[in-house]
Amino acid sequence: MARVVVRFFAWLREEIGVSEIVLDGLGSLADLLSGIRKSLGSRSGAIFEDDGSLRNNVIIAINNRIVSSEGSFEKISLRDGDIIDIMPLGSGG
Amino acid sequence: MRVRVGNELSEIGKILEELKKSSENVGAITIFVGVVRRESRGRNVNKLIYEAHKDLAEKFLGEIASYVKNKYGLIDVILEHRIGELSVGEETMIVGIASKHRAEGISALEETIERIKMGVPIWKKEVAEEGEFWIKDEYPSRLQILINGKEARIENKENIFNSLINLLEGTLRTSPEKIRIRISITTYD
Repeated sequence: MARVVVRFFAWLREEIGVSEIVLDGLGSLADLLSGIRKSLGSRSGAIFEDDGSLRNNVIIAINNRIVSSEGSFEKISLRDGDIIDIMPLGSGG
Repeated sequence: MRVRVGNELSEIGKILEELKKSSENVGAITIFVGVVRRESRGRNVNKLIYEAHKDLAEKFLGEIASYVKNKYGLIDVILEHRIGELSVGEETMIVGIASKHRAEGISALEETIERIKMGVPIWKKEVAEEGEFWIKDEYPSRLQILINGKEARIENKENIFNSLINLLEGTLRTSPEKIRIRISITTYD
């Protein structure tokens, strides 16, 4: 079971109120997202829809690699020390 | 070809020289410089605060540079984007393109800018007299609506549908007998 760091960016960080959290006892990315919902409670609405699915303007990266398919989250295993970044779509320029 | 996300931008003159030196076949240098402006979405902006996921942003900028270089047959591409607090009048980003001819350079420049605005994990917050606002939705600027052959201005890009309805209502009041609408949206895939 993995212990990972989850980092939040831009307005997600401000709406959630923390820049990062550490979660452990995780097997998959789906486990992690479930853990984040529990950990953040009502503040998780910035990331998740009411049915628990990821909002479509939210991006996830594991160790700087974007994870694109929500359907495969259960198949994505986490390892100790992984860094998971949760961020909104960009608005640079 | 190089990209950078950081607190400073290179001087334009240096980028120009760098691009010119990339090949003796360079026949056109096309450069875009983004600047913080005072008025935005009806607000009086004092400064912008840019934040980035630096590693990912540079990775994505590199992918954009490679993509447009191959697509348009460019000679060289330089992309730089600033982060941190930027006041009105300060430069936000530079897109520099070296090409054999102007046509491919100009086309590539526009697509590069749109891709940077939409697809790179860089975020901006407006600090205005009216408060602080994260900019959450950037739409492609190549949305064009023609009503009776005349280009209609989209006042509120954050709610295109309502803008369109307002435009139609206005046109119905002034010339209700015949309305011809043409909508074109340029996408880059």
